[in-house]
Amino acid sequence: MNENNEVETKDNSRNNILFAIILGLIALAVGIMPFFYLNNTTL
Amino acid sequence: MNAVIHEEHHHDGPPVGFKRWLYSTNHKDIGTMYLVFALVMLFIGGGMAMLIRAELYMPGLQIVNPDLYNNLVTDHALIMIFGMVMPAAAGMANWMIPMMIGAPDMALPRMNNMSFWLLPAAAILLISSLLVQFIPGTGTPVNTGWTIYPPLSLQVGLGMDLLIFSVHLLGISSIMASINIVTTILNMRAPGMPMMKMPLFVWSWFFTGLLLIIVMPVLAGGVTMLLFDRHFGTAFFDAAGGGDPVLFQHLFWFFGHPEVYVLLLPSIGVLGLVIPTFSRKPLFGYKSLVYFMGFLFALGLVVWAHHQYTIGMSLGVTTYFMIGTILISIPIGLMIFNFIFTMWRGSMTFETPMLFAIAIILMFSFAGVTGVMLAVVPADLQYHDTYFVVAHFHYALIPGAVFGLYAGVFYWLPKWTGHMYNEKLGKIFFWWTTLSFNLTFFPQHFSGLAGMPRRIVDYNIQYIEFNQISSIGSFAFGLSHLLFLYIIIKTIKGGEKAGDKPWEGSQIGTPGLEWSLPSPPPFHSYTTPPEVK
Repeated sequence: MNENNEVETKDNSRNNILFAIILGLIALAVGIMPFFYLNNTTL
Repeated sequence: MNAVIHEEHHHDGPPVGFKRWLYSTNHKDIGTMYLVFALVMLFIGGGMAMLIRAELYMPGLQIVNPDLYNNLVTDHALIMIFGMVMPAAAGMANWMIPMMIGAPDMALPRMNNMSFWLLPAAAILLISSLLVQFIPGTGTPVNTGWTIYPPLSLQVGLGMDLLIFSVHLLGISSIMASINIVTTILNMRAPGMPMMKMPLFVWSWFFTGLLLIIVMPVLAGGVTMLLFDRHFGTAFFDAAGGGDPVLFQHLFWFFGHPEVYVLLLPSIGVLGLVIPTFSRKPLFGYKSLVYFMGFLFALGLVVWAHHQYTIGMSLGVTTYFMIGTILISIPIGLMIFNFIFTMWRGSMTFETPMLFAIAIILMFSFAGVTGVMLAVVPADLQYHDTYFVVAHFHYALIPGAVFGLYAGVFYWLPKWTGHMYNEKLGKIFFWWTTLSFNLTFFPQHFSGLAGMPRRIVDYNIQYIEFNQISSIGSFAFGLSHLLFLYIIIKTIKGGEKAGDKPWEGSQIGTPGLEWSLPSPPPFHSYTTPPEVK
């Protein structure tokens, strides 16, 4: 609380969106991987 | 960036009417919707299980034809996994995680709304995939089982397309929900709340969210390739066109095995709160439990092919998957010891959540034992596709996931509703479910070991006794859920007032921010960051 009786809060929205984009890109990268694996089931 | 909010400014209360739910960005409202959705799906998926067990009460064909039977098996699994356990766990995460870490709401509230509202659409598609077979000309029902292996899944009718679209929506929903939860945990913790102070439930969802982000897109990719094979002339999985059906099995189980941990981890998180509360002792080895979860997360990602021992993998690869799978028993076994040591010399009381927690430890350990049996390749070649596997995974998933959710519901119901549930009815529900669950699935170990195959509508007359016991148990198990529904409705409607902290031991060894809020909590939990002790 500052001298004007106001509560200071941290705005996380920019970081939140950044994290969402990074995690979303990871998901996308994993999701397209099977298409490149194609017919090479050597296990 | 710092924003200044005037203290005099108060948010309005909840909107009224359908808009409150349709446009909701409030984590508690969305959590409630997830939980209600899961409850509805529990009854739909459970109804399918009742039909399956009614059919299996006698050998021969009684109620459903073989294709419809296999479609019921498929949809029972998908509805229970994607429609019931995951949404229920996500509902608890929505409700509790922001309150536990002192966040005003989820990190991405609008995305939270969308994650939920994709689910009813997915459920409609999933149920349509079952019903569409009754329209003439739509081809064979989805008789593949939830694994939807090609080549069979390339040959069945329109239901498979609906199922694939449903899986797409479910996948998008879970990925968005996971991104939201992981971001909330990383970014929105109150000052003074390092990650190593978070309640175990929050940690469990952190790993669950990461697992889902890594594996769910692979399933989405796999089913998209299936869709391409079905309609657009590709041959990813079609041997006639140079493709390989085994590739789909690898893609499916790369998702499917970690999915088991997706279902289990949130319940382990609930145990990490319930057991210390009712033992009135701090959790034994909190840090080690977090590390074990991390170990489970990592190991869970690299053992998928133990579901496919019979496909003819090389000896080296099979051995690797066998050893990896057996290694999983180490972190899980250690977690169970952590919980037992938490109870050791504690001042224990046996309220309904604690009864479920103890039952989970006993019965889940049983699934662990049969799991190690199944991990051993030469033995698994005999058990594969028998009722022994059905018994194993129901012992893993019903105590491991579903009972954990029941423990969570009874533990948090006073916080959510502001009323205490009826303890006597809770205990009746516990004994009723636990006994009937064992009556249903314990005999299946024996019919499985005697060779009864799974996913077949008919069976040899030698298995009749085990199947009749199983069916009677399942009807009792199904019926017990009407009592569950009654308890929940009764608690929502009224009853003894719950205090802010209804359980005496709930803040032992954990910050317990959620218990500092009134029961039920206000529409906006925290207007200022709470103080973490």
